[in-house]
Amino acid sequence: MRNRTKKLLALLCAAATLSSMSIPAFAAEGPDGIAIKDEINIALTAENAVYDLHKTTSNGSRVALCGTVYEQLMTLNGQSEPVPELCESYEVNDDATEFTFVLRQGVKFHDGSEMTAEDVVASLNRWIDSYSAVAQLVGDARFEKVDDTTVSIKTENPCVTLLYLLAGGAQRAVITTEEAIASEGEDGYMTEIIGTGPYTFKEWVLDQYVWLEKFDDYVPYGDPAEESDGWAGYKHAYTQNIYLWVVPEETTRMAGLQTGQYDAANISTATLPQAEGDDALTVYSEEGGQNVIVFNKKEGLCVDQNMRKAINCFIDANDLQLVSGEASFNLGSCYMESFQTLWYTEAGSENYNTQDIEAGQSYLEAAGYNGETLKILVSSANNFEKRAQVLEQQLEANGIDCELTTVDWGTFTEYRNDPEIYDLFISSFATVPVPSLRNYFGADYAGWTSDEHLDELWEVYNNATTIEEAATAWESIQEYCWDYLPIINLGHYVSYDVMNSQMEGVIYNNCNYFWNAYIPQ
Amino acid sequence: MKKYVIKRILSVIPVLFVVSIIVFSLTHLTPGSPASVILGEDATQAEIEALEEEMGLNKPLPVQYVNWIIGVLHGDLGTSVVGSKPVTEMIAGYFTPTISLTILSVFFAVLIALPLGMLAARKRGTAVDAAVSGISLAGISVPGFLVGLLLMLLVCVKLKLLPVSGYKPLKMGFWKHIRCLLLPAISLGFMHSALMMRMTKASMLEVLNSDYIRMAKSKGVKEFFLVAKHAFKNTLVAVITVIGQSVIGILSGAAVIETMFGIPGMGFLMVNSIGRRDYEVIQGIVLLIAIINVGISLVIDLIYGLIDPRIRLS
Repeated sequence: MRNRTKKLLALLCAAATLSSMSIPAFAAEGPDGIAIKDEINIALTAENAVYDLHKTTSNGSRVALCGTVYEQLMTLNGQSEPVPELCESYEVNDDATEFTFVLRQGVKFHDGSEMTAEDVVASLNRWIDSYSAVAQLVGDARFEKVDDTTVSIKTENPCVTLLYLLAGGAQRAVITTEEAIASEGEDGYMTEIIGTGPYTFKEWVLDQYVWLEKFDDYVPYGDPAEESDGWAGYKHAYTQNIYLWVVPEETTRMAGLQTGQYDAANISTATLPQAEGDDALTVYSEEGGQNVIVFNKKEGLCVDQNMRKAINCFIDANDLQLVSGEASFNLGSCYMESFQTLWYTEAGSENYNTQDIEAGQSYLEAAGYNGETLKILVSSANNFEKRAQVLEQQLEANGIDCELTTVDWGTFTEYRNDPEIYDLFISSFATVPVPSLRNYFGADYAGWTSDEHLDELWEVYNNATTIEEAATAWESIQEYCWDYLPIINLGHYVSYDVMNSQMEGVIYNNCNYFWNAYIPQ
Repeated sequence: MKKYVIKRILSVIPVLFVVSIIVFSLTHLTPGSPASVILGEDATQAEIEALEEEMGLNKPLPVQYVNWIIGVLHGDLGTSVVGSKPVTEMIAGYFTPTISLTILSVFFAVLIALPLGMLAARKRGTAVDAAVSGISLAGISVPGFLVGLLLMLLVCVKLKLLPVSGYKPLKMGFWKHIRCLLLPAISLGFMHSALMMRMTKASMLEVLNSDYIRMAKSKGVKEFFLVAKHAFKNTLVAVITVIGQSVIGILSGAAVIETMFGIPGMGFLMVNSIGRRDYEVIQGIVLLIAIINVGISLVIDLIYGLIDPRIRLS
C-alpha cells in the first residue's frame, strides 16, 4: 500500500513537472536571424466592449487593433502628421475640397482577398456615416471610386483637417472588406474583423484575452532598413502571436510583469516606484490627454461667464492634479498635447492657473453669487473623486458653497447629459489629432458650448485651405477660450507603460504598438 | 419525499417571478446605458440616443419586461451587448470556472475546518484550542483578497511557482486547470473555513457531552473511534448547512477574488456586466443565482434526512 502511494506521488510529480515545462512551438526569428520568443503577452486594464473601429470611440479598442489588425489610407507619423499607409500617394486641390487617393496594389485582406477600390469606398463611407464629427465636416460628400486604383471625395467646403481625421480620428477610418461591412449584426456592429494589417484577429474570449496571430500574406510598405516614424513605416511582425489579456487589477498586472507572465502593461503612479525599482522592467511615459473641468453652460450657476472666471481664479491646478501623484501630470495651458507641435500654442496662457483670489472675488460679485450651491459631478474612476474633493475645498475656501455627487462611470455618462444635475464636472479627455475633435466644443456634447463669437472663430478654422491657416485659427480659438472658458484645462495627464526590458521594437507613439516588437530568447 | 420535492420545486416559480420583476426594474432604473459604454468615452448624446433606439432601449419599461420574460419562458435569456452573444451561452461559459473554483475552495475549506474544529473540541481550553480559535478569527477578519494578495506575492512573485492570473479550462489538462485555481481557491477556502471550523467545534462539543458518547466511552471505545466514528457523523448536520452557504456564496460569484486572479467566473461577469450596463446578462445571472439558492437549500434538506434518519421531510 505504501509503495503504491509512493508510486502514485512520483507519477503526479512527474506529470506536474512535465506540464510546467514550456516547449516552444517553433524557433521564431527576429532581426539578423536572432532567436526570439513566439509570443508577447500584454495586460489590458479593461475589456473592450466593441472592436468595430468605425463606430466605437474607445481608446482601448483602437490601440489594440489599429495598425496591427486594421490599416488606414493614411496614418500619423512621429510628428502627428498624416502620411500614406494603404494609399501610394494622394492629392489635395488648392482649396482643400477635393481629395484623391491612389491605392497600393496587391494588398491582401486577412480573408485572402485583394483590397479593391470598392472595399475602400464602402469602408470610408461607413466611417463617415458613423462618425458625426466627420459627417458634419464633409456634409453630403462621400467617397467615390474613380477607377480600380483610385478613390476620391469632393466636398462643398474646405476640409483641411480631413487627412488628419483619416489618419487618427477617435473613430478610425480603417479599411475592411465589403463582406465584413455586410456582416453587421442586429446591433449595427460588424461581426467579422478583417483588416490588412500584419496580424489577424484570431480569437476573442470575452473577459479573458484577444489573440492576434501573424498574417503570413501581409504586404508591408516602406523601407525595412528604416525605423518606424510614429505609426508609419515598415511592419516586420517578427513575433508569431500577440495576446492581449484582460487584467483589471493593477496589483495583478504589476505582479505579472515582475514574474514575466506579462511583457507589457499600463500602470498608475501608485505602482510606479515598484516598476522603476525593477531592473527587468522599463518604464515609458507620455502625455496621454488633458485633465479638465467642464462647465454646464445650458443652465445653472456656470451659465454666467463671470462665475466660470471666478472659479478659474480660485483653483490651484497643481494641487488638483497632485492627488494622482506628482508624476501623473504636466502643467500646461494648451488644449492639445506638447508633442503635437503643429497645434501646440501658449495663446491665452495668462489666464491659466492664476490663483488670483482678488480678481476671483470681483468676478464672483459680478456674477451676483449669493451663496447658491454649486453642483459638482464626478465619476469614482481614475482618482477623479479625490480631485473633486480638492476642488470643493478650494472653492469653499473662497466662499462658494459646493455639493459633490460621486457616481460610477456608467451613471456618470448618463448624468453628464442632464443639465439639471450639475454645474460642472471633472473628467479627462484623450489626445485627439486635431483641435476640432475636442468634443466639449460641440453644442450637443455635455457642457453644451454655444457662443456666437466662438462659432465665428471655428468658421475661420473650418474654411482654412492650408493646415497652417487652420493652426493660426486654432491659436485664436484657444486664446478666446481662456477668456470664454467652456472648460478649464488643468493640464496634461501622463500615462505610464511598463515593458519587459528585453523586449525591443515597441512603437511608442500616443500609446504603445507591438507590430515590430520581439523578445530575444 | 417525492411530494415534498415537487412542492419545493413548484414553490420556486412565484419566487423567480418576483425576482425577475425586481432585478429588471433595478437594472433598468439604474442610471447609465449600454449604448454609452459601447460607443466609448467621446460619444455625443445624439449618437447614444441613436444606438439606444436601435437597441430598443427607449421602449416603455413594461413592454421591454414583457418581451424579455416571454423570451425567458422560451429559454432565451436575451443577447449580451458585448459581442452579441446569447446570454445563456455566456453564462454557461462563465459558470464552468466558477464550478471548478467552488469545488476546490470548499475542498480546502473542509480540509482546514473539520480536522481543526474537531481538534479544538477535543482539546478544549488548551493552547491548541486557543490556536484554532485564532486561525478561525483570522479567517473571519482578514478579507479574502488580502490573503490572495499575500499568497500571490509569496507564491507567484517570490517563489515563481504558479501563474499570477489567468484561467485554463479543464480540456487543456488537469494540472494546467488546477494551477490557475489553487491560490484563489485557498484564499476563498481559508475565508469560508472560519465559520465551518466554529460550527464543527460547537457541534462536536455538544455531541461529545451527549449520553451515547459517555456510554461508548464507559464501554472502552478508543478516543480516535469515539470522535471519528461515533461523534463526527452527528456533528455533520450543522456543518452541512454552513458548507451549503459557502457553496451558494462562491457559486453566486466571488467577484473580488475572481477579478484579482483573472478567473472568468460568475462574479467577474457580474461586475463587468454591471459596469457595461449589460442588462440581460445581469438579469440572467440574478435569476440563476436565485435558482441555485433554492436548489442548494433543497439538496441540503434532503442530505439532512440521509445523515440523520430522525429528520423527516414533510
